[in-house]
Amino acid sequence: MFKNDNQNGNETIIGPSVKVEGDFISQGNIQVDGSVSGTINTKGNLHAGENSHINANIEATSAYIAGYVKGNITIHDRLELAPTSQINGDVFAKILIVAEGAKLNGRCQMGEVVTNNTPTSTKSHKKTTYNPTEIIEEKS
Amino acid sequence: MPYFYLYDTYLQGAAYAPQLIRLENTLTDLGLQGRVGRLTLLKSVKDLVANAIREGADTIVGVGNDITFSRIAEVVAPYNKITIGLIPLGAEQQNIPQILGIPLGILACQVLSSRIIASLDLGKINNQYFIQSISVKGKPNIECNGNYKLQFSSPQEIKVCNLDFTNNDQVSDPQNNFLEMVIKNTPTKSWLPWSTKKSNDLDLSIIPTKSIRLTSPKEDLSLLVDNHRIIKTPANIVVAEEKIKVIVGKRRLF
Repeated sequence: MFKNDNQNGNETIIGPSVKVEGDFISQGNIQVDGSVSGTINTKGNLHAGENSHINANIEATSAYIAGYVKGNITIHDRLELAPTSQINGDVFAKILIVAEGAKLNGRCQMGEVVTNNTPTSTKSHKKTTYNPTEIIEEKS
Repeated sequence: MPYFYLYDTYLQGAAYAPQLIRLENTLTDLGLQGRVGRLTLLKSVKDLVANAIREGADTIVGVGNDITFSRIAEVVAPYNKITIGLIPLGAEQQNIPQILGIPLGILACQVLSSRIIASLDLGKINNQYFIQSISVKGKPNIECNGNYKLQFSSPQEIKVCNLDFTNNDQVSDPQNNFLEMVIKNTPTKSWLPWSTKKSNDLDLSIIPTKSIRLTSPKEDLSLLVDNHRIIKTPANIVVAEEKIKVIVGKRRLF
């Protein structure tokens, strides 16, 4: 991709005037400031800006979301929801950070996320299993 | 390593004669002398390169500018064992030497002598190879990798880059097996006196992809290929991975 000091792999930027429709599969980081409908699948990180409008299921290693998302979000590491974010869908993440003002309408499950999804396949057969974190009971 | 030097047509003028003499003397001193062919109206790049390869040349060196190099790359692409070099001559701005780390003029001979070879991707548009980039303006229908489509709210400047500058100092990587599609929306300044929209606001998208299908819903759009060829839509653009070998400099930008 483009070479700079912080570059590592292919990076995708979707600007405000661009609308993507379909299965968007990437190996690198994705920055969304426009519209996406369909699915987003990346082995890298997803950054959705304040003006982003995503009508898609999302799967990524980590994500920072500040815009609107309608769809299920599966994050293998860390998901951060900014104050301006609006999520309508289920969220599965290992680590979840929800800022004050963020709107989350859907189920939330946390722990290790394991999928059989192959990023290179457009017809992926997703099988997601969850390993809940150990519950520590406080003894009174 | 027999060399063949292909001189572009604009070097035939008297202004370039002293430079060419110094160039040939330098090449002889470095032990890089070879046959010379000159592009004319009657002799095309394809004919000259084919003859040179038939006679045993395995390094084709373009003496000229970006367009010279692009023409040679297009012709040499089907040959597997041929290496391409470049000696940039001329006053106009040249992007390819800067990206490949090749200095202008006689100093390029040093790069040729050190012979650092890199395998670069090419692009292919409707069965024609290109090395630098493709530019188009408008609102085309774009389908990428057969998986997703792009839609635009307004006319865009679209550039599909393989070996070219994209945004300011950023350079597309010709070795990553991807083509980088750069989409710019430059809103025009409103004639309304109270408009606060800035004319230099840029809305930039960068999408790496392996294949692109470009069509136009209304009239055919013109695609400018490597700044010298024009092809009309519809167009199928794919990346040809590691298609050519090029002599590059140490100060290349990738």
